[in-house]
Parts: sequence; structure tokens; C-alpha cells
Amino acid sequence: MPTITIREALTKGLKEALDKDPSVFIMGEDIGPYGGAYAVTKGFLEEYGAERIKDTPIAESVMVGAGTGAAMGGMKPVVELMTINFGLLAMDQIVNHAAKIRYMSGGQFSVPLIIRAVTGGGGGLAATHSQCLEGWFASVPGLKVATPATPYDALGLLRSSFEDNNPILFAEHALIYGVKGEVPEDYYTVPFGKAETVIEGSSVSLIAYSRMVHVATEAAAELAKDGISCEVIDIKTLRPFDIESVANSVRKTNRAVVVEEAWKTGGFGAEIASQIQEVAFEDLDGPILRICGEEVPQPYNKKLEAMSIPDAAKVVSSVKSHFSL
Amino acid sequence: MASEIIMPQMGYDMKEGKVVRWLKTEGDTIERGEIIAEIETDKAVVEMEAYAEGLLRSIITKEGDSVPVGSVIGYIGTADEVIPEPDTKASSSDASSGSDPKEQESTPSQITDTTTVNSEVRASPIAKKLAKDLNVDLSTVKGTGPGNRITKEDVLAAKDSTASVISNQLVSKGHDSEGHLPVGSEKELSKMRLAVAKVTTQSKQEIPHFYVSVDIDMTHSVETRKQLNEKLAGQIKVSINDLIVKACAQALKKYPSFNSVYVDGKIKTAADINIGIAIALEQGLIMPAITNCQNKSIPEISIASKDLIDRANQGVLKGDEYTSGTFSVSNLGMFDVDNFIAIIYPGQSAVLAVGTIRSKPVVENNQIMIRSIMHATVSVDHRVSDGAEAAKFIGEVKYYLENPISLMLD
Repeated sequence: MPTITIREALTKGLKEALDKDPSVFIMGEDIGPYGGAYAVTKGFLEEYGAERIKDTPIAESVMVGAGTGAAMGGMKPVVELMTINFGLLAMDQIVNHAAKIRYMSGGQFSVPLIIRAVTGGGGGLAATHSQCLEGWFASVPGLKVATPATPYDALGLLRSSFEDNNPILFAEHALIYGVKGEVPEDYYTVPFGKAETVIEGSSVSLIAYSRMVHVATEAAAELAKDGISCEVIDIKTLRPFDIESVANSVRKTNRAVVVEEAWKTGGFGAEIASQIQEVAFEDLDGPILRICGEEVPQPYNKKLEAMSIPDAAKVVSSVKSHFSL
Repeated sequence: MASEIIMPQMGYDMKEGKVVRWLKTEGDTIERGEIIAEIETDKAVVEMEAYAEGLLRSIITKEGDSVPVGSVIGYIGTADEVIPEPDTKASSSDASSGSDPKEQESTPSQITDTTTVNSEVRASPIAKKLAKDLNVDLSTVKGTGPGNRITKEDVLAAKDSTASVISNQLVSKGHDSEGHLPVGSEKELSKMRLAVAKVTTQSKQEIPHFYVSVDIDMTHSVETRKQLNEKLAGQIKVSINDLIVKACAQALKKYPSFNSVYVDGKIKTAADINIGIAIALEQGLIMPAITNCQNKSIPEISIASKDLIDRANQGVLKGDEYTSGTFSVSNLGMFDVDNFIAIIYPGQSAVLAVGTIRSKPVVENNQIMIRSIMHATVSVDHRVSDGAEAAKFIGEVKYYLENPISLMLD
């Protein structure tokens, strides 16, 4: 099985769709001659031409609006937001239009639009370019939100997105484009709404998505040294969210910990914690712990920035003290 | 920065301690080394010294409460120092709010209030569900989770002990399926009995004991003791046990294996010879040690021994006196027993058990003579030594007691 990066997995998925389906086209800032801010579409312009690889002005609202219209008209557009932070400018187009048109038209129109957005902090890009806003979009009925942590899932979820008839926010963490993993040659897909047990364990469930899956995995290895057996669950998509798999893990371990990069207040971790106690309250052996980003605008200073994002050491110490382990 | 007053570990198996009494109140001035509180361990009440000087700023653990070893039970500091919040579980997002001294002073009492006022059982949801399913009364379960919350493990542990209680009740009602005698009564073990139970069980499970016995002719020792006490004219009253301790100290100098402990594939020999003497109290057995026996004369051993026995009866021994023993002597001579064998105290490698001195006929030079004979048995950790060396060691003890004049030479 070839080992590739998340970046290569996304490139592969996009090319596959462009090759297979003439209605697929891509729009975004600097995706053409420059090859994309994170080089996912490098060489696409030469291969597929300006008709299908469209550089846009810095106008996110227009990009998503045009994408929505094209999707309604029978195309399969992919809109790349250079960062999810710029998605704030397209909020109305995403939340009020793309997500609602199928419902409000009584099914006369659907919006098979993929919005790829780079999320996450830690890259020294300061307060306005380092946020994890995917949780906000996850609260909108009509949208689906994918948050892959591995090359396998990045490709599998992207393929599922192309097969889906609904608008999808596809959140790619800026710091894990280089993460490597095995990806089969044969065609496969990864379904939305199906979590995966990355590591099996018996004492504590660590629930995470995207980059925090790797942080949780590292923490689980550390905690194992102290005899604390952790189960790591990658939820993969925020909407739909696979509460059943998460609850099954908690029913086994009786202790739930959500590891999330976003702010604690109103973060998606709060939703996970809340759903756990709704369905598995009697299986809990202690309050659900949330380990989240600090509630500050992300600092530019490298050390302060590192302190504001959960790392394995913080997960280890928080888990131990919270449960007296 | 204010100094923490920590619940000390007085004994290797001590897990928690109780603050029996604070001898100081908040605001009192404290000298370094001053006795500030009385702490009850598994075995006794001991005095606790201050390791810092200043004002007793805060008492966190109130009298009568038990806390785990290492817990902060109070703070010593200067008058204007900010004393840390006792509860580390405070939400981090609130920690930055301004520190009002009034608020901080009230925190410890709030904490203690919740522990006393809150009679409602604190248990996790799974613990409550399990307790219901397994028929465990949560009010009888001790919580080990944060804030003494009862956890799943606590309920499972309680269920195990409940099961044994239930089976005992069945037995006492004549439901004995295994042919055991009906139980007449049942009582909770005292702390000291529990400690003895734990220590002896651990010793017998972990230490491979073997035993070597000899008869020791104590005729000369009995006579020497009499002469010594006449000479000392009532100032000090030397006992036979003091002579035995001295004889052991001499023998241990020559055979340090028996003044050692086996730890993880290594034999660690103690620098000093500290001989524990078994003292039977009403509540159980303790083994405080006479320290530095290698440098002590018989009268000095006698003084130290009497001091330990007196203070043991008053329950005011210091923590390190329980734990510093490197070898032990257990003497049941006063109970009219011929012989017995003792269990090695964990942390040591040998213990000598001696019985009553009796007049017995012995054959010497083909003649039957009446001598004062004492039976002695040494129990030895087989990981540390073997029978041959143990025989030489107890032979050395025997030599000194049969030739007590040699005990006077060091």
C-alpha cells in the first residue's frame, strides 16, 4: 500500500473527480498559477485549463455565492477558502443560502458544493488567521462538516463529498498536510458520521478530530506508560456526528475526555460532552473533561501560541488530575 | 513564598494520617523544630515538628480529619504573604480574577464545611447504577475519587467485602455449606491491628523465611545482670533483654548480612545497627528501634529501651522510631513459653525470638548439671543469607550470652 501525505491524498481526490466528472471545477484564491496556498492544486491549471481551475478575486462571498449558483445549475463546484477565517466573509452565503436552498425550495434544487477550508492554528499566523471555526458550521442543519486527520480519511471523505448531493464544509488543518499514512490503490470511500477507534483502551476515552487526534494518540502513549489505558476515538466528521460510537467507548471506559483545539466556550467539544451525558450519563465515573484551546485570540508570539493550543503533556496532566489517576 | 505543612510519611506503609490536635492556632508564631501538631498514624500518635518558621497562616486539615500522606495540611508564612488556595481543582479560567484576602481566608473553612455538612453521598453516575445493581449501600462506601467521590472501583471493592460479610452472616445463621463453625461475633479491626495484619501478611508473602534454633545457657548472663544491677544501685535496671540486644549488636557487627534488607535483586546493608524491640500494647504489636546499638553500652541500651517502652505505653513515640529498625528482637520470656518463631519485619532481614529462661538439666563433661536455659530462634530472609551463616550468627549471639563478660569489652 503506498504511503502518501494528506496533501497528496487531497490532490489525488480532486484530480480523480476532475478526470471522472466534467461538471467538477475548482474556484479559489491563488489556486491557479500559484498552485494553492498549501499547494494542493499545484499543476492543476496546466493540466485542466483556466475553464476548470478558476483563480478568483479576494471576495469569499462571491466565490461561495457563485459556487452555490453553479451547483444549483447542475455543476459540481469545489470552492477553496484559503483559510476558514475568510469564511466569515461568506457566512451568509454558506449558512443562509448553500445550507438552506434544498430545504426552502422543497427539494427542487440541491447544492452539491464542496467548500474546502484550511483551519487551525500553530503556524505563527496570529489572531485572525489561526482559528478553528469548523464547530460553528457544524451547528447548521443542511451542512455537512468533514475534519479528517489522516491521508486515508482525507481521500475517503473527499470521495464521499463528491458523491454527496449536499453542501459540505471540508476542514483541512494547516499543520497536518504533511502527515503520512497508507492509502490503498483500490477505490474506497469513508462515510460521513462514522467515528473510528484509533487506539483501543479500557480506562479513559479520548475523543478528538483532525490534528487533535494525533495529540490524543501521543498522550495515550504517554499515559500507557503509567498504566492508564486510553481509547482514542477519531470522530472524523462533526456533522453528522457519530455519538453512538463515542457513547459505546464511554460505556466501556466510564471516563470521557474531549480534546479540541478550538475555544472551550461553545466549541464542538461542548456538543460532544453534552451528547455523551444525554445518552450515557449512568455510565460515567466522573465529569466529562474538555481539554481545549485557551480562550484568547491566538497569540503571534511563538511560545504563547504553543501554550494556547492543547498538547500531549497538557492532556496527560489534565487526565491524571481530573480523574485522580 | 509560604511553606506548606505536609502530612508526613511515618512508616513505609503509611498511606494517610489523622490530625489529632493542632497545638497552634492560626496566627501563632512558630519556630523551626517546634511541635505544632499531633498526627495519628496506623500505629500511634506522634508529634509533628515545623520545618519552617513564621506564622501559622492557615490550617487546612482540621482536627479529627484524615488526609493522604503528602497532602498540604496547613501553611506557615509571613503575615502579608498570599496563601495558595487549598483546592487545586479550581477552574483555570477563573484563576486570574483578583485575589481578595478576605475571600482567601474564608476558603479553608468553606472546604471543611462542605465535608462535614454535606452528608449526601457523592458518587459518580456509574457508581450509583452499579450500587443499585449489586445491592451495595453507598453510605458505607469510602470514596477515592476527586472530592472523595465514590467511583466505580470503590463500589466494586465494597461489593467484594459486602459479599464476604453476607457469607459470614449466612454462616452465623447456620447456613454453612462448607462445614465451617458458626461465627460467634464479628468486629472491625483497630487501626493498629489492621497495620499488623497488613505488615505480617506482606512479610509472609514476600519474604522466604527460614529458621535456626539453639539453646543458650543463660546462667552467666543471669548472674552478670544481677551484679550489674547491684553495682548500678537502682539508677538503671538492666534487663535480660538488654543483654540480648547487646549480644545481637555484637554479632551483627561480625555478620552484617542480618543487618540488611533485600531490595530488587540487591542486598542493602544498613550503616547503623538499630535493633527493634517488640512491644505488646493492648491495641497490637509495635517494633520501635533502639538506634546506634553498635555504639551503646549495656546501661545505655537499657536507658534507651526503657524510654521506648514508657513512651510506647503513652502513645507518644516519634515516627522515625517505628521505621528505623534494621534487626529485631522479640521476647516472650515473661509469658512462660518454651519457644516460638517470629515474622520478619519488612525492611529487615532477620528477627530473633527468645522464650523463657528455665532451669534445666544439661550434660556437661559427662555430668548432669542444672543450668538456666533459654531457647532462641532466628528467622532469616533466605534471599539475604543461608542456613550456615545463620547458624554462625546465632552461635555468635549464643557465645556472647554465655560469656557475658565479653559484652563489656566494647
